Parts: sequence; structure tokens; C-alpha cells
Amino acid sequence: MYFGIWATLLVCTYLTYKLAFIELGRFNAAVALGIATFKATLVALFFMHVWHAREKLTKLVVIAALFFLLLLLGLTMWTMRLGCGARSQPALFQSICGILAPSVSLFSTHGPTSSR
Amino acid sequence: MHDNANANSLTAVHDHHGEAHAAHNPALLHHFAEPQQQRDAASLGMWVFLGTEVMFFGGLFCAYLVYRQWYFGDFGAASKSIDATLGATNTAVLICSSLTVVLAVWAAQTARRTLLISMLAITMLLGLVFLGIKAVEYKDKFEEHHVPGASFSFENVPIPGHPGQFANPRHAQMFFSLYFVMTGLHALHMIIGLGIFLWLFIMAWKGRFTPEWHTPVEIGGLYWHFVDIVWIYLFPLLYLIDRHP
Repeated sequence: MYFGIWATLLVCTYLTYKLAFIELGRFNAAVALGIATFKATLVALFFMHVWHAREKLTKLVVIAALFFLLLLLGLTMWTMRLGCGARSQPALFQSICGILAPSVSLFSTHGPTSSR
Repeated sequence: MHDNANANSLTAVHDHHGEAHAAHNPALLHHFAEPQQQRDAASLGMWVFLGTEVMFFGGLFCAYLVYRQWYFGDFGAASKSIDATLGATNTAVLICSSLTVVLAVWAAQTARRTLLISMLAITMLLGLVFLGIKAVEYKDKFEEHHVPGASFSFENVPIPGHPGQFANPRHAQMFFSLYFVMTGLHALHMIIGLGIFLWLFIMAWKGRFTPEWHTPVEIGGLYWHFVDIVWIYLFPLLYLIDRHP
């Protein structure tokens, strides 16, 4: 069974390599990262035995680590107006910033015109 | 019931303990109810550490994503100058090493000492092959003056897909800074992994691992697989940005 996973991983690597040289426009990055995610999932589930793990906490830690990574990447991209969200929906971005901004000022101990 | 002369010594307690609990494996620590729980605890501890490692590399990936969006053309030009074939070979090497690691764990579980030792040895060998190929890549970068610093030079390199436009050297230097830090940090993890596996190899050679207790092999394996996963993501992001035009 391990050999099956190993063969799949090698095939996926070859696919990633070959597809990179084909023009797919915007989907080149998505395909490459999609295949990479599939490979990483296979390694995690079967080589690291997460699929057959008896302890539920292990699976929770894996999901938590993934969640916080995606939070880091997602929110950073969004606040820097990168990726397909903020640019195509500037009104949504502005409105959410408008809601968050007053709450930020609640936490500041001195205003912008402070002489400090 | 303890001998009064050494009532507080551990040996007295353990002698008494040995009579009462002859049944359980000496590898089972006393604060665990059963061996499976002990194994799960060790594995959970390793996974929590790997969670911190995810954030460690995650920060670098985040920086990479931001700069890639800002300097897309320059990063494409810089990415084209590193050898994707070597990168793909390294990916295949690491995938094979992950296979040998999981086979080593299976060998430890099923008391196959020869297989365990040989799988650990092959894993280390593949790790060295990976580092060797990395060294060749670094040497190429050094010779082409692509190492960030005083002698960095990236003049008149065309941006893929935009004939006539040339990459901004300062932006390309950012790519190479990220390239060296990310692959360098990864290589450092590989070297640490090699050290861990050398220790595992020596322990296995001495016959210290049994089907009841082979925890170091399992959690060493988890570490190695994590390093493999990091590389699985590093490869397409660094090597395969803009190869199609």
C-alpha cells in the first residue's frame, strides 16, 4: 500500500514538472499548488499515519496547524489587497475596514496628534 | 511492608513494584494506562512541534507570496534561472526517502531488524543525495553572481512573456534572498534530520527497538515526512513560476 502512495507521489511530481511548461494562463499556479496540496495530503494521511490515527487530538492538531497557516496567508493577502478578493471587490474591502477602524481607535492610548 | 533501612529509596519501591506489576512491558511509563496511550501521546507531542514548524515556514511562505505578487515578472525571470530539472530530481529523491522511512517504521513494528537498519541507512543516503544536489545548485548560483550581496548581478535578463522588458535587479535579488533563506532553512532541517536518523540507525543497530517500543523511529519518521512536505511546496513555488512562455 505504501508503494502505491509512493508511485502516485512520483507521478504527481512528474505531472507538476511537465504541466509547468504548458501555457495555462492563470491556472498554472492553481494547478501546481493543487497537485502539491494533493501530494502533501497523501504524505500526511498515509505516510504519517494520520488516516489511521486512533487519537482524535492528533487529527485536531493537524487541522489546527493548517487553519492557522491559511489564516496567516489568507488575511495577509487580503489586507495587502492581493489575490482575487480585494481587487475585484473594493467596496466589500472598504466596508469591512470601515467597520474595524473605529474599534482599533478604542485601543489606542493617544490620538494621532499626540505630542509624544 | 518496605524494608525500614531504605524505605525512601527508589530501588525499594521498584522492587516492591516489580512483584506487584510483573505483567507490563518495562517500556511502559507509569503515568500511562496502556502502551497505545503512550504511543499516541508521543505522536501528539511530535505533531504539536510540527505545528510550530508549520508556522515557522509559514511566515517565509507568506513573505514569498507577497513579494511574488508585487514583483511577478521579476520573480518569473529569476525563477527561470534556477534549474527545474534538479529541483524535480530532488523532489523525487525526497519522496523515495519518505517511502524508506515509512518502511522503516513498519519494519520496527514487525521486528524486522535487518530491514529497519537498511531502510534507515538508505534514508540517510537519499538525504545526502538531496543535500549534494542542493550544493550543486548553490554553486551554480554562486558562479552566476545570483547570491544576494555585494557581487549580485542580474542585468539584462528578459521577463518571460514580455519581450523587450528586463527584470529589475533589486526585485530579482528579493527572489534570491527568499530562495536562499527558504531552501537554506529547509536544508538545515534536512541536516538535523540526518543527525536524528544517524542516532536512530545506531540505536537500531544495537537492537534497542522492539515491536512494543520503537517510538523514536515513529516520531523521527514524522519529522522527516514534514521536511518532505515543506519541499513538496517549495519546489513548485520557487522553481516553476513562469516556465511556459
